[in-house]
Amino acid sequence: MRKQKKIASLAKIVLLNQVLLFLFSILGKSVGEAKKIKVVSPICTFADIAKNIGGDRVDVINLSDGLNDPHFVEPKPSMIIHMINAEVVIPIGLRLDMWFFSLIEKSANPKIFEGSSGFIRTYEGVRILEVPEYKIGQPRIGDIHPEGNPHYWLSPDNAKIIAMNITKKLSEIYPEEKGYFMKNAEIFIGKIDEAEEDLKKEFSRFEGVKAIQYHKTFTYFADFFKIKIVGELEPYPGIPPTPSHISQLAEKMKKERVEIIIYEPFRNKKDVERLSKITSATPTELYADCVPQINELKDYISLIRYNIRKIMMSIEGKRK
Amino acid sequence: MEIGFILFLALISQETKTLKGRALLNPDISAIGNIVNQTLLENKIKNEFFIKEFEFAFQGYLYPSIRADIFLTAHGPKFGANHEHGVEGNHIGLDLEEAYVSLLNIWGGFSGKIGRKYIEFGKFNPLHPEQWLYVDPPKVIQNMFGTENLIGDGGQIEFLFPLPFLLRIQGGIFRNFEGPFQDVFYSSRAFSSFGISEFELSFGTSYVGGKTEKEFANFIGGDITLDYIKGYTKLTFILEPILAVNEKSKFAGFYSSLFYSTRRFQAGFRIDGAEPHKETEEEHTENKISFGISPIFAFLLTETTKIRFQYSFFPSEKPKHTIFFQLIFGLGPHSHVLQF
Repeated sequence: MRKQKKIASLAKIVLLNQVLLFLFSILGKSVGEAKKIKVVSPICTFADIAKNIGGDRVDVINLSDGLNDPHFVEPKPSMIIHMINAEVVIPIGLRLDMWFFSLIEKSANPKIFEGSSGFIRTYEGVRILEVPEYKIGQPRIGDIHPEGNPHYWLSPDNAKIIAMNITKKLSEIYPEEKGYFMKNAEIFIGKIDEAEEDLKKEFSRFEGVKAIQYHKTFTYFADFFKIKIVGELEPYPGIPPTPSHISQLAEKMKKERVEIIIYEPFRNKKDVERLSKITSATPTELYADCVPQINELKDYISLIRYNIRKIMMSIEGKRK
Repeated sequence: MEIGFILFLALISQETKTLKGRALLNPDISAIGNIVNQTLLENKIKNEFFIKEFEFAFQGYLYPSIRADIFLTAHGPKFGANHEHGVEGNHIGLDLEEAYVSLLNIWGGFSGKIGRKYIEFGKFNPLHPEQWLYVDPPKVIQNMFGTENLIGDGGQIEFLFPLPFLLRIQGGIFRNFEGPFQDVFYSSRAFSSFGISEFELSFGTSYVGGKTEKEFANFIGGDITLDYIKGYTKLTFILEPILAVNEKSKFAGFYSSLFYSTRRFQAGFRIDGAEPHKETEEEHTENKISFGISPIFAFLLTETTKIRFQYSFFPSEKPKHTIFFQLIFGLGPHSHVLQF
């Protein structure tokens, strides 16, 4: 009788244990596993910076990479799951990644709403370029970003500011880890400094080179490495080039002796080739974000290195 | 390196003010135009050109977790309405199409919306006309609800389950603004979605029910969506059957579509199957489903401007053949949500 009671109570304990395990698994928490801070980023660059700062204390997910246009990522319903569980989000802002904001809104997760503790304003402290100033009668055509050019992460100086904004916010939310985050930030910024020094030295003989860009994507990158952007293939942001714009641009390029046309992999290559044929400027495909599955572009520093070396190769090839 | 790092910290701790406060306090203001030309081919050709809709949106946050969305619409005639004579043909009326406050988080995964809104019934009904994949609404929507979109004044509450996949349920109570109901009606929806690599599979079931002029009517809908998204290439399959169960009768219908999209164009077709909405009991004895097919092609001129062509063939209806041409353009931040 006593034995039967013992078996029954043991069975109860096992059952209770199974129920508890089931509940834990449903909630995505396993017993004994150290809790990591869940961070969601719209792009690979911010995810890479967050991984560098957060180290093994963070679990970072990026929803897009350099193979996609960050303006137009299709927000899938299943992405909301990442938002529900997120403790920190790192949007680009300046109305570039509106799809990412729609996912934040749908998540019903108050930790990550704009203005909440888990929402990082990455561009705070960044000198925003091309903030439009309108005069009466001036046309406002195209996909204008009223707060300025949002591709700010492509300047290594800005990447350091982004890193510090992430560090500041993570330290505010998790003050017990402040020392760890600060140390990682110092190491990461040191790595950027080193890469910056190398690349500036390598690129110094090409400073002042003139380029055309497809969209206003590489403005910050060009500003940092002293590449002179003479114009854009898009007559207005987001508006595809017309034949008359291409011919006007070609005239300008010939006058200004533009050597390269820079564009991202998702742009219309036919437009670039057409312009290149008329002007003999070299088409140079660059990336605006890292791509984890491509080794040469696996992180932010690799991305900057890849882009600057690709430009150097194009110019060297042209000048031979 | 350490001195450089400390100097850098000092530099960025002086917050640079880059944005002007006044501009940030304004709500987002946008306008979307939707212009349609419809050619009906029967014994003689009849051409109709009309402004389908001009939508003005005002959107912004009241609080970090509370936002407000207001959509004012200057709309033209509805599809299927007689445009030939009188007021319905040419009048452009101004309506408050939607105006609601979203409580993005009430408590522990609950959120809600209060105000006038498109009822979240199925895949099609919650969409604004500029977001449709087609020029005209599927026949089943028009036949079931007697309108293009079911709109109500009221509120709904939603709950997101903390599961490894998306599962959301919602329920609402509304007063009829546009639709078949006499006054109060109830709505509910369950929606689930799974992402596997480039595929996204979504399922939904929806319900609306309330008293119409003659009887209590229940509408039950199901929807399946399969998306394949790789870069700018997208393949979308949608199937949405709807069943109306009234006190004295039953009628059913569905639509299904398959679309292939790239960055600049979209091509696909829609298949319609719907029983006509009948007013009298005798009419219900003959439940003949009318089928139709509509090939559709859209071209994106700019990121916020597109043109669309649609040819609709309904062998058992009059007219059998309809050709549509549509121009949609958007200004302002709301124009970003244009679905391609």
